[in-house]
Amino acid sequence: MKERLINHVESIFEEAPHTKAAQELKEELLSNSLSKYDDLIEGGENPETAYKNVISGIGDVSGLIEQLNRKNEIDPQLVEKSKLRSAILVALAVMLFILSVVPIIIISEYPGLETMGLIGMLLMVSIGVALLVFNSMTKPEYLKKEETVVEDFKQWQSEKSQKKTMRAAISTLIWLITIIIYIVVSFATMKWYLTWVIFLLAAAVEAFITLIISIRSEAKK
Amino acid sequence: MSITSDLLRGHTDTIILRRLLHQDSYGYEINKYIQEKTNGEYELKEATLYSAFRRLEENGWISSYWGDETTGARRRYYKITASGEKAYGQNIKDWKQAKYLIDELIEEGGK
Repeated sequence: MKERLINHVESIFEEAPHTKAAQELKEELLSNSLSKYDDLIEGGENPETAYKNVISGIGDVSGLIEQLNRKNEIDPQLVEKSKLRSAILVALAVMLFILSVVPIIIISEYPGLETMGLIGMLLMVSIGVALLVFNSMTKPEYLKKEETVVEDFKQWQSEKSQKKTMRAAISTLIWLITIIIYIVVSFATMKWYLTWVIFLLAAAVEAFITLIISIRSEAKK
Repeated sequence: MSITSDLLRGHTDTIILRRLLHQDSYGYEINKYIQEKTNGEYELKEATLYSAFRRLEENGWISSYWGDETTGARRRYYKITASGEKAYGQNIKDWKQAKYLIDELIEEGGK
């Protein structure tokens, strides 16, 4: 008979959204119903009557479930806004990437200044990468109003992919900066036989940063 | 009896607050308490009870936490807050005022 009671409670919540609030309400109803049933049986009631008594005592929960459904709506305006912001940042970054060849083309008219053109290009590219990093870091975690099991999974996924793009962006940034430093230092000192060491340093720095990130995310868990 | 039920239902919140004033409690226990107090004449529907809990929680008059039952489903306990105690006091005052006025208005052979 207890099985039947549990099944009844489950069936009431069939139409309910799969949210944490609904899950908790179900659990609450279930524990209270079972307590009541046990009490009635202890009081000498026969199982059939006790079951009917508990069921009729539940009453009309449709209002409560409707309330759960209403709370589950996401504000579409907020989603639109953050999408737009993200699109603008990405478009700006792409524009910088494409325009980054312009300094080289212009500077090629003036012989002897090729390095300046290269530096200009790398500067624009690194600003673009910085924009992408900024975008991925400030993007709101998968917008959610109510915690649902599905939503939790989606959020976990988006967090994971966010971490990946962030790591890739950081890596790109490190190498771009390295190239800039290499060229600037090399031209300034003209010690080409020595300056390549900068790349070894950069590799070490990248490994170090990756390590820090993974330690931090490990600590968060 | 139906007028009585309607009147009582209007005071569900205060009834719950009163019980929680005494001790933290959960749905079934509160309902059992109501039954005992009324000699089995009155009992809330579970749905009414939970609506009241949600409403009271939204008002900040009660808070809830989960018990650590080892067997069976977890129980959700409710606790009255400081502003809940204040609200209870106000409700009692309002009720006394209403009771006096209603008595004056409907009772034959009064003053």
